[in-house]
Amino acid sequence: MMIDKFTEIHASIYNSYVQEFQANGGKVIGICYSQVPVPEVYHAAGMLGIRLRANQITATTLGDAHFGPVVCSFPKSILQMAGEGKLKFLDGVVTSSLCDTMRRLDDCWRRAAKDMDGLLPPYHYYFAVPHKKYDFNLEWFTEELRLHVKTLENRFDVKITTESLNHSIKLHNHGRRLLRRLDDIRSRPGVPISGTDALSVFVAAVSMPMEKFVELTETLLSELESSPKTVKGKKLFMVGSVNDDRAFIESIEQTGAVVVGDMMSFGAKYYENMIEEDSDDPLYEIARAYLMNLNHPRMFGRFKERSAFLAERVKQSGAQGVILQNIRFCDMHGCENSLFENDLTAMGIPCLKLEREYGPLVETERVKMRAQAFVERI
Amino acid sequence: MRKELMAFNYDWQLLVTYQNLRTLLGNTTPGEQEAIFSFLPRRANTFEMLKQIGHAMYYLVDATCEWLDDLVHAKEKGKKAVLTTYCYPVGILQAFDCVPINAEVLSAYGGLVFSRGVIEFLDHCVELGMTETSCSGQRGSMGAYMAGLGTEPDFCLANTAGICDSNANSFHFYTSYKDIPMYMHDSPPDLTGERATRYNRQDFRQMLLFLEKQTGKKVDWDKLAAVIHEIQRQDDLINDIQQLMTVVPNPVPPLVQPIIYLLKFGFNGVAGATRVLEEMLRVSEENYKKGVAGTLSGKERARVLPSYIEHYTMDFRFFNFFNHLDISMLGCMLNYFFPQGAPYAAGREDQCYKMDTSSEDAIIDSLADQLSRMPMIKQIRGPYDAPEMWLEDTLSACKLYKADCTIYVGTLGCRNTWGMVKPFMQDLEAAGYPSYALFADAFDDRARSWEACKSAMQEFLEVRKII
Repeated sequence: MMIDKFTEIHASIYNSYVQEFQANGGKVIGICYSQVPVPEVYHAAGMLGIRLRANQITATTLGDAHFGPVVCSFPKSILQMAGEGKLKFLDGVVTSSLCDTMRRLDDCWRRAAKDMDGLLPPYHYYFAVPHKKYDFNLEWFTEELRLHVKTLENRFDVKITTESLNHSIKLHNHGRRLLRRLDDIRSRPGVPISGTDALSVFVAAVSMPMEKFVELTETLLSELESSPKTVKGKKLFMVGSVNDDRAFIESIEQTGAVVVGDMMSFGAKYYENMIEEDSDDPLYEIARAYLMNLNHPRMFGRFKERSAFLAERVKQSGAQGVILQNIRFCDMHGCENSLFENDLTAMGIPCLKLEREYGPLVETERVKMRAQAFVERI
Repeated sequence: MRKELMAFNYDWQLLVTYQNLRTLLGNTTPGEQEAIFSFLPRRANTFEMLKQIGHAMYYLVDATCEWLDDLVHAKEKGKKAVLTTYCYPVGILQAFDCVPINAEVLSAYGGLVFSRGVIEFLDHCVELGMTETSCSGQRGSMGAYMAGLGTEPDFCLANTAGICDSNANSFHFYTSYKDIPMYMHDSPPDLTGERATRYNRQDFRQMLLFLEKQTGKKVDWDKLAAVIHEIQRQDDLINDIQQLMTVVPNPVPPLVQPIIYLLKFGFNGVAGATRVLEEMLRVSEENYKKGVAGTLSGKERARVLPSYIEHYTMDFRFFNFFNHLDISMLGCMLNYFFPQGAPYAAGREDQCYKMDTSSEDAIIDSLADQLSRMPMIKQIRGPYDAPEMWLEDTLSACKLYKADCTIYVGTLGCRNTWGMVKPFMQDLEAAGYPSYALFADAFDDRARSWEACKSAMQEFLEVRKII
């Protein structure tokens, strides 16, 4: 089964495709979010941008030693991965101002690297992302992207041209269309793929070279479209903080549910950024698409827009209920989930708010119990 | 929320409390005041410390009453009420006939004067959907406003995107929940340089358009010029007080520190507040001439620099703790505003703002520069150890004010500073300043009781041989 391939890629950030890419002389950059900074730019430089994640740790001791106590477990887990030498293969890392704790990953990682040699990859860049969408914010973001391109060109002796960027945009747009197709398939009455497996596909999109991803996904979609298999269960939609943990979705699905859609970063948020193709200024188009489609509570004051978008997506997916989850101490998702809950409930859509930790899932039974009660309620 | 808490508006209760205090202070002899205060044991520390700042106490109460009266009666007076945050320089609002609803200042006022504190209002925000881990600084008063216990804000102005998610998120939640317009400034990770300056100024101009739209008014340039003049006067007085803090012993009384930032936050450019500063400067100069410290005993055993914020639950216990130990307080991050001439900015003048009234554009740029240098807005926008940021400012202040130690206090919602407080403390220690991170919440004693905080700080001071 093709899905097994995706599960294998999902299992390790340093999967066989990344290894092969590096073995052929390619440089690999770890990035903090699917939307900022942008994989197209690395691809255009002949490099590979993969999203940082931390599903291979069993503790957060190093993270706890550098971050304070009341901080989200996601950046702590990434630092732990670095401390355990599991990110040593990276040629560079780009942190960004996605949220306060993710931007403090930059500070803590640099600090930890003072104590532990080789902890920080040789190329290290901090990328600032505006929180608004006015013209001057876009101007800043575009400049930031151009500056980043310059540092990549200087550090890695590469050239990022208009042609190479336009080619990368086309390729990544194609990848996005495939993911959208996957979600269309998931929204049909007979769902041929579980949410757990779908998560692996979304994770793979930002964990391997896009050419290979396109190849594998096209095969997978053909399989799914002709598959007689259907996954039974109450249809659910997932919203909120970052999750790349199959076990989390699996725990929910084991209660008699199937996750058919999401508004998450390892998920549908990635394919919303369709970029204008064949432009004279592709960097501007990349910046515009990424900033204008940045659909995250960090973009303060745009709740109504997000709420309407979510309602539409839930409707399209055919979901019968919505799970609004957040990692503890992620106040942005936590608070916005409550606002979503108000709006969705008013529309008659059942919701479950759930707080959890990132990383090694130690609370399976609690999650299952909450999900079970919710599924029974629908 | 309990029914009885819904009986009176939060802002009205504060107004009445301060009006009563004004009457009491104005119409009684010092002896009578002592007698009355002795019946208010839960305010004993506050009164004891207020006495250390002379007549500034009366002027502060006056200015507070004036502001609260404007707030409570904003609608009758034809003023727009603007929900805002502590580090927003509210002077600009005067030019649009608006009155600020300063969330953290109102939380602190409530926490100081109400016996029950603001805990139930904090919790009310959670009942409505905010996470319990959200910042307590805003939730204290915001809970009351969310329950409708105050003048309804017409719109919101905040400036913490790119600085403090917890803060920005609280205003995002409030405005989304109540469906009122908001303008949120955004900050890049650096302060100076052409890009950052341009970005901050473009943002400020965008905000002015928003303000004009919400108020239906154009900038009143005469009013704004007067406000700027007053801001300059206030900044000069603050600079003079902060210069005196370099002296050993430090002649500045402990309560002067929070009052300085209260005035900058709540009374930016308000003429009535300027005389509070004048009086605090006079008292400090008098201490200086006598060669005594600003502490209760006039002696100085050590000098402490809170590296972030201070602790604000009832009765100024945090300040009183140091006051009684003869430890001078050197101001926290909230005391650094970076106007031209600020003593802590010596050698770093490029980081300061300058009020330039030569043209309308110059005025706007000056105000934008002031905004980008407000406490926290300046220091935690970028990596903590980058130039112009938190570590540089703290080390400069430690050196200038001859600090013996630093203490970090925040709220449990301070994701940004808790995010890297450990590396920050390690760097302070490496620079020779014993440093302690107090696990506590500056607005909510339930996170850690005051008694436990006190013991922990006492232990730190003793173990590190500060006292």
